[in-house]
Amino acid sequence: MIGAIEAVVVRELTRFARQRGRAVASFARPLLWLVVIGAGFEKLVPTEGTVSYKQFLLPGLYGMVVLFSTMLTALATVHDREFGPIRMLLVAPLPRFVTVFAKTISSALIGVIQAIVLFPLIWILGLHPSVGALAELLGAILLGSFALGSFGMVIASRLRSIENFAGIMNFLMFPMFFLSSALYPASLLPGFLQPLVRADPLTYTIDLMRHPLLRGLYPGNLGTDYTVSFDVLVLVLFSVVLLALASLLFGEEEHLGRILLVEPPRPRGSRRLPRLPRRAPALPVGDAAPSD
Amino acid sequence: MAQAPAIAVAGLGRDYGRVRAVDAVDLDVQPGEFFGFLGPNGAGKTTTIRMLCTLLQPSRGEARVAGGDVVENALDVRRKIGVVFQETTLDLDLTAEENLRFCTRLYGLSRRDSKARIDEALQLFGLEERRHARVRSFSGGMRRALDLARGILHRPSILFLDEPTLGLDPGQRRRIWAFLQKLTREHGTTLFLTTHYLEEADPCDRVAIVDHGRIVALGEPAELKRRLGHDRVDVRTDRAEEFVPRLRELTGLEPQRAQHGLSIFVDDASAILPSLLPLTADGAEVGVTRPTLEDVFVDLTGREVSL
Ligand SMILES: Nc1ncnc2c1ncn2[C@@H]1O[C@H](COP(=O)(O)OP(=O)(O)OP(=O)(O)O)[C@@H](O)[C@H]1O
Ligand SMILES: [Mg+2]
Repeated sequence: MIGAIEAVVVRELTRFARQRGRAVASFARPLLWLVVIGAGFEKLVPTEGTVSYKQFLLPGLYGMVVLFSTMLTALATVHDREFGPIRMLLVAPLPRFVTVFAKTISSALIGVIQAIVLFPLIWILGLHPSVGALAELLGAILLGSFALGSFGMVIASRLRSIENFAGIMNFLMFPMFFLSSALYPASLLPGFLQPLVRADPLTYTIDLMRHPLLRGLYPGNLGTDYTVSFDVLVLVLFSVVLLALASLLFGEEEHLGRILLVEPPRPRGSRRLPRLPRRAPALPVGDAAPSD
Repeated sequence: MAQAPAIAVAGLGRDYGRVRAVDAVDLDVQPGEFFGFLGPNGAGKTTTIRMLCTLLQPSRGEARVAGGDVVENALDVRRKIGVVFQETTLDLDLTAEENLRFCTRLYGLSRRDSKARIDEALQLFGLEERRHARVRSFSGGMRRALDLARGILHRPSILFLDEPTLGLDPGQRRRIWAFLQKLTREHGTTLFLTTHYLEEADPCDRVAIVDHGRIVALGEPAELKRRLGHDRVDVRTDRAEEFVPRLRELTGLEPQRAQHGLSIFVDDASAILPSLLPLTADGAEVGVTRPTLEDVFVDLTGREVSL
C-alpha cells in the first residue's frame, strides 16, 4: 500500500519535473501579480505600522500558487484517462481510497515545491522569519495544498473532459482566489459574501500562512482573520470530508464507466460499421429469393 | 475437467443508458485455456472485458473470475488478473523502465523483485536498449509490447487482452501471438482475448463469436469451421450477377456473394468441381479453400470483417 502511494507520488513528481513549461508558468503568474497588483494597491492601501501591502500580499501569492498547482495536478487525473495511465491504477488491487489519497498527496507535494521556489521573495520583501516560523509556513502550505488537492479531486471526479478547464478556472478558481483574503483581509468583504469566504479552503490556507510570516508585525488594518488552531482545524476537516467524498465519487463504478473509461474519441464515422439486423442471412445474390 | 473454471459468466449484461452494450453472456473458461472473443465493432467485447476486470458494474447477471465475484471481491480479482487494454495505458512522459516500475510497485512487489521482473520483461520483449527512453519516442509496436510486458509483470493467473495486436505489422503480430502461446503453455496462464484479425484466432482453444451483445457461436475453431460445411468453392469473377443462375443450376446450391465474386459451401469440393469446368471457359477462376474463421464470422454476423 505504501509502495503504491509512493509509486503514484514518484510518477507525478517525475512528470512535473519534465514539464518545464508548467513550472515556469506557475511562478511567472504570481510574480506578475506581485509586481502589478502589489505596486498598484500599495498606493491605495494606507500602510501604517510595519507591514507593507506587498508583505501582506505574499501569503496570498503562495495561496495562488498552491491553488493553481494543486487544482491542475488533480484535474490532470481527467486528462490521464485519454492517455490511459489511470487505468493501470484502476485495475491494480488498491482500494479507491488509496488511489485518491495518493493522487491528492502528490498534488499537495507539487504545490509545496512550487511555493518553495518563491521563498526568496520573503527576504526580498524585507521579512525575516525565524526557522521555526519557516517550518510553520511549510506546514501551512502542505496542509492547505492537501485540502485544496482533495477539493480538486472532487471536481476531477465529476468532470468529463479537461476541456472544461477554462471554465473551472474562471468560475471556480478565480472566485476562490478573490474571496480568500489573498488581496485584502476577508473581513473587508460585504456581509453577503461572508458565507462564501468561510466556505473557501483557500481563506484558511492563506490565513494560516500569514501567521508565521507577519507575526508580531500586525498593523491595525492588515493582519490575520482567524487563530492558527482554528485554521488548522478547518483545513483538516475540509481534507477529511473532501477526500472521503472524492473516494466515494471515484469509487462509483457507474460513474467511472462514463468518465474515466470512455474510449478516446474516435475520428468521426471511422471504423464503426452500421448495425445490420441480427443474424442477417448471407447476402442473397441477384434478384432471386433464396431457395431452400 | 473437475477444476473450478477460471472465468464463469452467467447472464452477464450491461446497459449504457438506453444502449444495450452487452445483452446476456454465458460462458465458462477453464484454467490454462486460450479463449478468443470475436465480434464486429460495437458487439460488446470491450464492455464484457471491463466487467470481467471489475472496472464496470454489470447491469445484470454475474461473473466469477479467478474464484472471486467481480462485484463483491473486486480487489481479490484484481490481484490475480492482468489487463491489456485496447488503448495504451502507458505514461508517455515516463521511460519504459519507469512505466514498468510504477506497475510493479502498484502490485506491492519489493524493490528487488521489481527490478528483477523489469529486467526480465525488457529482455523478453527486446526493449533493453530503450530502457531509459521516453515512451513517447516508441513506435506503436514497441508501445504494444511494453503494454503487454506491463500486463504480465505481476504474473497474473488470468490475462485479459483487448485487441492486443491492433495496428501492428504482421511480423509484430506473429511475435506477440507466439509469446501468448508460450505463456499459456509454459506458465498455464489463462488467456481471454478479443481480436479483429480472425485468422489469428486459430491457435485459440475455443472462440466465442459475439454479436449485439450475445454469443452467437462458441466452440473450437475447427469445430466452428466444420459447422459451415467442409470446403468453400470460390468463383473468382467480376460478373457475379451473370454467374449466379448458372452456378445454381450446375450445383443445385445457393451461391453467396463474396469480395472476389461468389462462393459456395459444400461438404466435399471434389464432387462438384468437374461440373464447374464450363465456368472457367467463360473467364471465371475456380478455386477451393477450407473455410476460415472469417467465413464463420461472416455467416453468423452477416458482416464482413473490416477495419
Ligand atoms: N461509455 C459508453 N457510453 C455509452 N455507450 C457505450 C459506451 N461504451 C460502449 N458503448 C456502446 O456499447 C456498445 C458496445 O461497445 P463495446 O466498446 O463494448 O464494443 P466492442 O465490441 O469492444 O467494439 P470495438 O470492436 O469497436 O472495440 C456500442 O454500441 C457502444 O457504442
Ligand atoms: Mg472494443
